[in-house]
Amino acid sequence: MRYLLLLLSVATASAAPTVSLPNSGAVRVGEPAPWFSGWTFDDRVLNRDRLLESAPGGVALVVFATWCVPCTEGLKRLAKGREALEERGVKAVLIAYREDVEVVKPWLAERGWGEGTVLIDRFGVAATALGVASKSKEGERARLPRTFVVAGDGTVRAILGREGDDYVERILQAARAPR
Amino acid sequence: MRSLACALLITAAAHAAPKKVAVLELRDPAALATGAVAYLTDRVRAAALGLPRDGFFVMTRENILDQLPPGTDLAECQGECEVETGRNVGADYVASGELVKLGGEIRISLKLHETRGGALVATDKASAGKPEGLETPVEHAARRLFAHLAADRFKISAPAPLPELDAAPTPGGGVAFGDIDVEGLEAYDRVVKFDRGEGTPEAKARRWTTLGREHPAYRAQAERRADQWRTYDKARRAQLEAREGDWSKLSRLLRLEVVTTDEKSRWAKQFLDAYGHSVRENPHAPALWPHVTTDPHSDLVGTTWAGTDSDGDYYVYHFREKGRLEYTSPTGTFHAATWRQTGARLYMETNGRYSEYEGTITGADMAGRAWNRRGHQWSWSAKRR
Repeated sequence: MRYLLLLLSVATASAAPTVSLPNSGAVRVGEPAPWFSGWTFDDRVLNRDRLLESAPGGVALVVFATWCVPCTEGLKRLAKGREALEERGVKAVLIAYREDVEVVKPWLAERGWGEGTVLIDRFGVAATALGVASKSKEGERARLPRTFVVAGDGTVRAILGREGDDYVERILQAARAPR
Repeated sequence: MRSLACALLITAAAHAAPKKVAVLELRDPAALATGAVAYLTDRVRAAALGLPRDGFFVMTRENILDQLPPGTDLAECQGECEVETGRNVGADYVASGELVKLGGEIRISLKLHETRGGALVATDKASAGKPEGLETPVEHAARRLFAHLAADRFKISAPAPLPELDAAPTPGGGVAFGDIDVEGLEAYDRVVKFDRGEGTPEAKARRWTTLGREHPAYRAQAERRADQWRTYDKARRAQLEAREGDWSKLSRLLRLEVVTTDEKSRWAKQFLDAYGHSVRENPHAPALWPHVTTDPHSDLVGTTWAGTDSDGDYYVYHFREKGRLEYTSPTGTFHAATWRQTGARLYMETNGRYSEYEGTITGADMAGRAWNRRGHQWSWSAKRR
């Protein structure tokens, strides 16, 4: 019985659809994306404007951390679906929340991420700007994973929380949705 | 293939990324050096570029501005703001500074913060009567400031010491003369001689193993001795690896201008203490001797010592200032020689290291070993005159 319940819960979890959110802190769907920036693995600086310039079809910003267990599944789906996103001009960009290159790089390589763009957010500055991390008396809290679909004009088209089987499709839908 | 990939990943993970250093624009609230602030900031940034490149990445002005929202004025940074700005630009260290007027002078105070914890790592200052006189003092102050980062860059790997080895074991006695296995004992004798010789630990371990296999009567002690040599060999290899790793880092640090002479001297001494002061123990020792300051107040300076070596030759040594050595041998008096003292240890070389001496000073006596390029070795001793 216990095994049956476990199997059911796993099946439910994997079948659960991706969750859409109306906002992430002060960041709201339909409004301009906040400023963010970070360092790439090869020590280049990328910021909001540069990213949007390089991806007129929009950007899927995925905030994650290596210690975030639910992030792993979403990243695997994204790694598989990245080609489909790129075919439609959508660039997937990972933001590594409070991580260092030497940890993130091998971690992502093991999960099949390859050569995709990753921004290192060492001090959680970008995650805070995106409303993913917030400070309280107890310390800093981060709600991961979180994906922001940002259109080429800088408007936030969708904010996604938990990533389900339909994760990549939801990103594509948001990116091509009419304004 | 899979394990190779894993190993590569581990290696990549173990390699620490260079620390990022941001130099913020100097602040000049009283407009004391209008027009020169950007230039002076660049002098500070240029000093940061003297940091070891494998350990530090110095951000350009564009790197910094690209990370901040358009329209951010770095010179508006006040108080704790520099640490916050450092974090916003993903820096590990942030340097900042401010111009103030004090008396008739313009002063620049420089600060270096570590951004993760916000700790102040170092401060320094420079001053001049006019803005145009600030360039060199600012450069020097900035070098001293960044030297604090380079100072943390070298630590000896602290290798485990080599295990102490007992003397080669003797074969068990108590065998009647008629029962002695002469051939076996001869083989044992050959291995003991080899054990005491200059062979490698690995070769010695092999010889003992072979002896144990060919002469079962000695198997137990031969295997024990072979194990001792294998353990020794493993420790020796670990030590050599640690030494070469430390040397590859130290030799680069010693070439840097942003590292102070005191730091170089301290690191050189640490390296010599860990891996040996003589060239026999440590092939890198000669390159470090110039960095190990001979105490100018050493009581050897100005003294004369004399004694006979193991070849029966009489020598007189005059220890001059700045490490210059004069010596008198049976063939004459010579000046082409140097000496260096580290605590009670003494090193001397003559004629461009044709001959080298190492020894220990104990009160009014000194004694040690010597060797020359032709492979001749001898012992020497001298007494203070």
